[in-house]
Amino acid sequence: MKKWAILLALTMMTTVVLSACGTKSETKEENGSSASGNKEVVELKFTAWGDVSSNPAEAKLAEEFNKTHDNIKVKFEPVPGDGYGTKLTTSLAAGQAPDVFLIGEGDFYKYVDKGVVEPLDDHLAKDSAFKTDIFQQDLLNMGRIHDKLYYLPKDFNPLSLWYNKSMFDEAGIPYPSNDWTWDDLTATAKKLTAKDASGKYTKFGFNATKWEYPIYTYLWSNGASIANEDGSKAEGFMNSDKTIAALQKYVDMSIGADKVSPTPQDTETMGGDSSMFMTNKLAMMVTGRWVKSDLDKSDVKYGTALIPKGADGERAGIIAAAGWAINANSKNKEAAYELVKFLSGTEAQKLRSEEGKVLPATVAELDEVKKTEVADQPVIEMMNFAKKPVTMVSSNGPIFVEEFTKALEKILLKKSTVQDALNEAAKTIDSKVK
Amino acid sequence: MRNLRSERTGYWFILPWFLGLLLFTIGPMIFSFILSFSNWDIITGVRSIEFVGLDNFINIFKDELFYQSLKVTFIFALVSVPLYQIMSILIAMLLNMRSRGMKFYRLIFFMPSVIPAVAVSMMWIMILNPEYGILNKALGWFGIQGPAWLQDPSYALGALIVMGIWGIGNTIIIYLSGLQGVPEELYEAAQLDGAGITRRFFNITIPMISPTIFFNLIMGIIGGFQYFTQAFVMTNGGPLNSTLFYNLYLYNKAFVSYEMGYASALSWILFAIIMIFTLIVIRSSSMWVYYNGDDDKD
Repeated sequence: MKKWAILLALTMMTTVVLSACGTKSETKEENGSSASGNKEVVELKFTAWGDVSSNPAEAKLAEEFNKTHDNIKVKFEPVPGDGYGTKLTTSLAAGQAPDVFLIGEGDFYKYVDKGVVEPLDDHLAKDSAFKTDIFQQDLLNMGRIHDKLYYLPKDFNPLSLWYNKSMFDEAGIPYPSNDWTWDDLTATAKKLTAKDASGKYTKFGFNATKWEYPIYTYLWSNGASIANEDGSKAEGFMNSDKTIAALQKYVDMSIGADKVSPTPQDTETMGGDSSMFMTNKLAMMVTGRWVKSDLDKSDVKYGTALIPKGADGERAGIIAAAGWAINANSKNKEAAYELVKFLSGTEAQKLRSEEGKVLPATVAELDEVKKTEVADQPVIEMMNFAKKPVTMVSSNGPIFVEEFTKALEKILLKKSTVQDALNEAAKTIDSKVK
Repeated sequence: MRNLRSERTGYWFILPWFLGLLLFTIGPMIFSFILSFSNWDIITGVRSIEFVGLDNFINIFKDELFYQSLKVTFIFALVSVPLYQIMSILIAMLLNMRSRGMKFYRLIFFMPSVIPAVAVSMMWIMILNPEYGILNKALGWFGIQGPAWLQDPSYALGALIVMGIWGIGNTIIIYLSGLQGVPEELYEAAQLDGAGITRRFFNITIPMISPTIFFNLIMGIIGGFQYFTQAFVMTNGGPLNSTLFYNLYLYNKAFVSYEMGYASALSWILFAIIMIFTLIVIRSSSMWVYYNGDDDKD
């Protein structure tokens, strides 16, 4: 009896505490909206992954913005990359999320689907001074979902083929050419792969990674894909004859008899692909321009080329990008719009491009880079071949990726054949897709 | 009257603790219990909580990964709990001997328990690296080709279990204090009666430290079922879900796929499982735990 009384008291107290919290935040909200009406100084927060030292441009831009906008004060609060999604999600749930945040292209759909991102169209319509035609249109359109624009591009990273010049020179093999097919790549990679006396591999020609983006480019250039056009069906795509044949060839690079690539385990134990590349243990990889800052710290000599064509001459690429979004629950959307515009605008693009790590999302600034950076030509050219991964065409994307990754893991650990694993994945996906 | 006043003073003293318990333990527990009957993606805030009755529990019992995570966790608990207890008792007995530099040995065995689990995990990743790791290098000296410990689905769970032995310092210390409470004269008397070392161990040591075993067993079971950090850092459930511990699966559901209701339901099932095992141990304790002070009762 006594115990029950105590328990009851506890429950009631918790309820009181919880409901007290609830009312508090509501009044706060009201205060917030009236404050923005009064033209007082509005305080904004924005976030991106990484730390301040890896976002020097963002920190500078925040300063710059504060100088030029008297009635808005922004604060940049970066979050370490590993915990970014979790932190953003939980703060969105708690209603404490920043007014503006950065989202990677793979999550564009997810956040829009949850209704936490503010559409920009109305803001843009009211603002005649700002034109979105300063951006690369393909890039801008990545942020257009269900016919509404939600993200303004920050920068972009087309994947391309990166090769280790020293290893090619040492073997006396000409550098990858832009006419290469994937078969040329495999044949060359074979020559660059080496074993020591005990039969252990010491050098690999290419990294056939388990990361799905490079795999997509391989599949696409072979006329295969893991999903239909609008990302609603896997049967007949994920497990089509073409996909099975292409994926078989792809995994044979790492687990087949003619091994030219490390398995994901090899890569993990050898410290990751970019460190293998820097220590001349890996000759080629398909990746984004973000590796540049690491590579430049070592004395490895490297170059870039277009991602090879498929047997039929088809070439496919993929763009990794990030976009700024306004929190749909922000109390100061007008001010947040100003900030997003600024962070994606010409000045910001110039500043980031000068840091040298990313390619500008605006046409004029990219033209500038094209003139000066000859070495980056193939990287920039790859954006003409870009196709959209399933995560960018449908909110079902994550289901496809999860099952595909699972299937790939089984195949690479030789627990299943390519055909069985993909059949199973297709079945599971179609049962989950609504 | 006076009694009531002093009671009230007592309540004032425990108030800070009590408020903390209420806000950070009981409150969230009630919330998660309610959530377990709902769907909630957490992103859109409390408004989007949608009650679905027993759906979560029904779906859990149809969920392949739920059974996989149960299997991994049960194997881990069944092997590691007895293994760690036996190892701890044996090491504690060694550390209980009178010998020179014993403090130094005790320090060595306890030290790993002071290092944070994440740091320990990072170190073991290096030790277990199939290519450069010291373990496979050492095996190589004897002509044994060590496996890819954490990358091979048939070895990963075993590697984590063995690795755990390194961190049993806390249990050892508790056993050590238990052993030091065993009166010397019992051993002397037994020795005079001609009891050998094995006999003394099973008929004196074990019964005398049985309350300590009881305590460590319960803590070990709870710890075993809640195993998380090392698996999260070192394998993240892989390869092929061979180290998908229950808590890790729960975490993934909550903070990777943002299915808070499902995750809450999972956590209450885990609570029930731990409760059942703890109760079994407690209920059985009257049969094997010996309390010195209880003598007059019998």
